Amino acid sequence: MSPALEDPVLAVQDLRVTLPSRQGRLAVVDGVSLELRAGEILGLVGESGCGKSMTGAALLGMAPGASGQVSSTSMRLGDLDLAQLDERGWRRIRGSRISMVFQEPLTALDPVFSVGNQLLEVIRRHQPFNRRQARTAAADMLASVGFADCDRIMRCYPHELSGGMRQRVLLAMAMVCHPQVLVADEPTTALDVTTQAQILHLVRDLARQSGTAVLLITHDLAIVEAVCDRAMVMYCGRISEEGPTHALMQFPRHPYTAGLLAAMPRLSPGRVEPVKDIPGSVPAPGQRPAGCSFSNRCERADGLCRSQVPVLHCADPAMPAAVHRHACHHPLAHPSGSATA
Amino acid sequence: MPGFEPTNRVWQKLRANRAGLAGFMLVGLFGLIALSVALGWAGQEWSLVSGERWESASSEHWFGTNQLGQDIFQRAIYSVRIAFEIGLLVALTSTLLGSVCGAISGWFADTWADDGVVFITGVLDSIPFYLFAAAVAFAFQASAWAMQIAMVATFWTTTSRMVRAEVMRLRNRDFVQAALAIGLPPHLVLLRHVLPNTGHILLAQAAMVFVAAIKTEVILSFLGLGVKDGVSWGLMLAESTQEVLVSQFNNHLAAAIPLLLLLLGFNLMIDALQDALDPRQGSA
Repeated sequence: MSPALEDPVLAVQDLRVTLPSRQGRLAVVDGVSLELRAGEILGLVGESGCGKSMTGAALLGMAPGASGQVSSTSMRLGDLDLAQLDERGWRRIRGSRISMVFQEPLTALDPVFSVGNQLLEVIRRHQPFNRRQARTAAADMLASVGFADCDRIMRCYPHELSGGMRQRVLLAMAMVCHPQVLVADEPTTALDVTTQAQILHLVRDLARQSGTAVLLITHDLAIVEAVCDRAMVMYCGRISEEGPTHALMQFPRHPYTAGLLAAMPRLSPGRVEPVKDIPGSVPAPGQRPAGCSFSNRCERADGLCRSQVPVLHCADPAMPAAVHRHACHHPLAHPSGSATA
Repeated sequence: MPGFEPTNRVWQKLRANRAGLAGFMLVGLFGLIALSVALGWAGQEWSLVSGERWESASSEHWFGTNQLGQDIFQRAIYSVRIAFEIGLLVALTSTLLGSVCGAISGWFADTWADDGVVFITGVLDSIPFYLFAAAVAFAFQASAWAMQIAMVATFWTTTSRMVRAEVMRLRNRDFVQAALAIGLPPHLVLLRHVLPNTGHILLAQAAMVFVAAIKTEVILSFLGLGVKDGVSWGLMLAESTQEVLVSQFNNHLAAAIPLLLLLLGFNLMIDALQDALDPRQGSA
């Protein structure tokens, strides 16, 4: 059975995150829908400030700041209706069924407690283990993220570990209760390239082994290409294009995706195109243009783009609609020629 | 870090700090004296008139006697206990009060709770320090704890403001978000992850309050608002202001030198503790 036909582990419809401002409530995440299937890695790509991290936190029911609000028309984790959960209910889910890995391994661990202490805190919060069982589970988890001397690592304080080791510890903390969904918010951005690769492969292996669905938030398309099964491109709080990684990378339909790809440095021998940046920058939430939010940076934009918000629709009529979709009035042509203008 | 052994780290760092060890020994020595006074083993004859006025040091009266003929050594020893009582009580109480108020106000920044705490600390801080302490001690004169109340009322605000600033800084740190993301309720995050990270501030503040309390006791006792039932270095210094006029320095020195040594020892000890306990300072 292909992954696309399985029931999703997490299905979110029309997710919105709003923040108060002088012009009223601003939607920093504006109608994002996503589905995650067991063992799948979904990349969420976009520039800084496009709402990726807010989307990730919203999946844990965490609103930005004290005055942020999260809403959705439907949010289901397996049989559980997340939209009905109160704060207490969310606390039972967080860290056990949906967990999160943060960007900065340096600051995401509490500096005054040992690694073992923090790992045990997660376990004892969510599992009915006694002290000995919890220690065993912690040591086993550390072993499965690649530590050889788990007992020593448990006694270490965060500053005694390297960045890669800390990120492994955070990954262990996130995975120790065998969550159904892992949200990884730029997990490798703060690490050097070789460590990045190790951590990414570890995330992929853990996801495959445990059947955990991963939402991998990143600004780096190379990471998406390396580990993600599917990818979503986000711009100004909306999804501009989504599809299987190879389809999206080979035949981007949305000009923004194409722009991101052109801005990505490549060293493969066949491709020597110069790196091009996208003119302008991501507009602040209050200053987004009407219609397509990319219209002020897009060379294909016309009157339609500036007045009507494009909706996600099928990129290639020959393929099932769920596979590759984009939100553009004037998409780039598909090389097979089957594209509609 | 190959071959790194995380255990005994604190102990090793403490042992390597010689000034800190000297501080520990000084404070330990004074602590033993205070304990033996409290247990009734020493310094019990502080109020007994056991000699003539202004006897000089002898084997019977080690530091001589004062204007009334009381043994200065006995009084100096008894004062150690009083200093520890005041210092520890005021330091613990004002640190507790300051950390609770500061943590609440920092965590709930920009809410009414924060506004209230900031308003109160602002008002208290706007009154000159010794004047305020004297006024509170005067107002509570009937109580045996007047001086302690006065000191806690003035000292907790600094701790509160420092803890508030630190909590506001920590609140947005990733590990606090991460603690929320493992399903901890906010009050447990505050208690288990935010407050422990203010430990170095609390330790330093408590030490400063301990030292400040002993110094303030001198001034309040001098003004007649201090120790009532007993004797203290402050009372001894107050007595000695008349004695030094006629060149009798025994009482003055017997109060001033132990005071200096205890404060010095305490400061050295706290510096060493801070260096050893703060895991953030250990990174290479």
